[in-house]
Amino acid sequence: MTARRRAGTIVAVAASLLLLAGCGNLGLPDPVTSQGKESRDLWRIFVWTAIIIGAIVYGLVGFVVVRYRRQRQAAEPGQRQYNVPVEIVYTAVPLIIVGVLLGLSIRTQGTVTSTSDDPDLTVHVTGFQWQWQFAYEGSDLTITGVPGKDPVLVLPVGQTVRLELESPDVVHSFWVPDFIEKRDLIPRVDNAIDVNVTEAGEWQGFCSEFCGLAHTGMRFSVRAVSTDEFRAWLANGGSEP
Amino acid sequence: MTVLDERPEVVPEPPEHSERAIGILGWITTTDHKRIGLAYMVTGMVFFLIGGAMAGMIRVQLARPEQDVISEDLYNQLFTMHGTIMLLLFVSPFALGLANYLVPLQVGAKDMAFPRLNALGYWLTLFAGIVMLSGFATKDGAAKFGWYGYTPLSDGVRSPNLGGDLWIVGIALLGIAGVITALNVITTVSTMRAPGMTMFRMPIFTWNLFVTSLLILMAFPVLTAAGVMLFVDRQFDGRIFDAAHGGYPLLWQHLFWFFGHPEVYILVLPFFGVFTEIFAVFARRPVFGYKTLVFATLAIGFLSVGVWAHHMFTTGEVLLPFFSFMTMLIAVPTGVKFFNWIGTMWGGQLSFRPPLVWGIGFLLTFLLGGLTGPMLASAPLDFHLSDTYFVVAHFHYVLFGGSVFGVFAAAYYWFPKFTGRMLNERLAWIHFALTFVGFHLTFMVQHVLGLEGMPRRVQTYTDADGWSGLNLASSIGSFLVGISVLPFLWNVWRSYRHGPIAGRNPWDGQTLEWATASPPVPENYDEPLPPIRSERPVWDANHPDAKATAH
Repeated sequence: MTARRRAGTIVAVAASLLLLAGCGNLGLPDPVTSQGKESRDLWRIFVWTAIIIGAIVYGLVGFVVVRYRRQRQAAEPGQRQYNVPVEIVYTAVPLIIVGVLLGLSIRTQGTVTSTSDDPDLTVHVTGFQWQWQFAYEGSDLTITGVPGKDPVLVLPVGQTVRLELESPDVVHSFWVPDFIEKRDLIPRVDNAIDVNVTEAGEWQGFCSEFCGLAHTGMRFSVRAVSTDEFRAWLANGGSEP
Repeated sequence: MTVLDERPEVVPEPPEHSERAIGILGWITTTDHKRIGLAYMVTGMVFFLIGGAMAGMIRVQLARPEQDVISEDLYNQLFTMHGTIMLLLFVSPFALGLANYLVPLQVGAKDMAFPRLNALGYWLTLFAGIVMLSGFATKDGAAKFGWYGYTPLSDGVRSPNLGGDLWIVGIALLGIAGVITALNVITTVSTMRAPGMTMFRMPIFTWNLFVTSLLILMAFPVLTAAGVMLFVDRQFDGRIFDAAHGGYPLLWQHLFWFFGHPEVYILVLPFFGVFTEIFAVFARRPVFGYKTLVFATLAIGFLSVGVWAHHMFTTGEVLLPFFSFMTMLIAVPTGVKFFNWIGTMWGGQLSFRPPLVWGIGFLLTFLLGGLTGPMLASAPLDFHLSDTYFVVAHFHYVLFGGSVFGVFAAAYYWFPKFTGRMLNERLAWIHFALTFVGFHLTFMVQHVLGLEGMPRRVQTYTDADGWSGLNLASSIGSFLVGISVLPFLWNVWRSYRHGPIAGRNPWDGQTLEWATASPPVPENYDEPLPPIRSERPVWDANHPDAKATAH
């Protein structure tokens, strides 16, 4: 009885620890792009699967530790070495779990990485040691970060935005945590992602691939505004509306 | 019956140096596998302390927001060398040291197959470590492009410092040392087993070192080759990785991770072997599903050479489901092992001596690293998690929870065999408790930091980022881990001279290293081996009524 209760406590503690990591988004920031929401949904499935498997294994370990501690003057324990049906079950069940997770993952990957043939706006994002530059296609507007002032990437809400990711020097990575997505900028590799920002707001962005001495300071902001505001801002040459 | 019987009975020449030369000269000139093994392990522990001190400095710098205790330049050197040292100069050498000491003893051999080559492997490793660390003594400091040295950052234009070249030379030397030792283990296991010791009667530890050695043969030459290519780029204008002149920067990532991912299994499989032995001995049971466990190890080895590109999802160049598939699949044999370990203890008589305590700690810790693995194997989730503190947390759960816990479990388990004396158990408990609590405090919170948006390898952050509290907690945890080493070192120092005498077989061990004196005599066995009729000949000899049953 105590054995079972103690095992139960361990399971409860483990589960609540993981739960403390966050509710709803389970630790992730609130996604602000339609792609990010897809990834968040997948994340929930993965985390809950992990919690359930973790609880079962913690429970088993806890049970074994409590139940099979050495007794005084006990007979030699059983020396049974194989139990084929049990072994088949604990090989097959993980295979099935992994298969399901993989299928879900591939589906989400397709959605998140798909790019539109006709995006509403294309921005060339260039990362270089150690700043960001945002060039808006169809306009001569280019925003470049300077030391002490992070550049701001202004995007319209509700539109499909293509981000062309380019690097002239070393590998960088474009990451906006609230987008639940990052992608590397690599010389000789043409990377592009589409984002559909779903709400107005301002978020922090980072270079998340180590790129040398001043990597730490290579930050930027993203500001999402309504389409009208965006048009006015662009027409104004990027000055504050 | 076997090769051994056909050998002419010659009186072996006395070893030229090993046991003859005394004192420091004896250690320098030794070709005895036990001495080389100990030299590897002690060297590894010294590098562990150096790498740990670097981790401590990193955590001091990150304890509070917007600090500048450690400059960006030095910070970059510290995390580069911390990773390099811990993986290549601590865990690897320690595992190879265990292999050196124990594989011949477990298969009933007198030494490794190539004793002089064995010594060469050790000296190359030590030399490589000194070469790498000497970067700190140069004007522009040690290597500072991260332990996986991505091109173009690591080329001669972006990282012209001498420390970078020293790092590459060290990498190449370590690659050669690893191959030498792996060949030695494979040859020893293949040809020098005692009569009766079939492959399927080898202890799991030896099996795991055998598979590890096969992986080393596949992975390390690629690392050495990549290091040579990078050296050519830096010194002779090779342009192999230079995009501006038709080179391809991503090639480095492919080569590096083709080494790098088998490498993490090279680092952890030996310790899976350690824990398997410990669970069986301290439960007084046979290894549950012995053959399944061997096949699981082989499966991990096989799959591990097909998963490298999961480190590269965010490059956008390798989004084939293949790599997700292989990576998730590798979770299955690892899960099988977990159940085998639980099955080994199931129905046993568990005595909670220090090795088993570390074993339980390993199960509880490593599991969490295993559970975050499939998340990172999912490309869309990896797009968020990659290169954040979530990844840092993940691989510390795997490598610290797996390998470092394994190092300590092995130290407590085999110290009596190595020295003839027992370690103090009270100090062992203090060591374990501090490490366990400190470790989880340090790294549990890093999952959250990464999810919230903290990239790895940043030297500081602002208070507005909202990461201050968790970073402070993480730093406090890391200092606990740092302190936890002290009772261990004291214990080793004191018990080496004053510990209780261990005797031949203090744990009621099952495998052949427990069938000889502690420490073993030169050429290993002071009396005839017990008959080898299963994978635990010593147990069979001591407990004739408790043979393993199939059902």
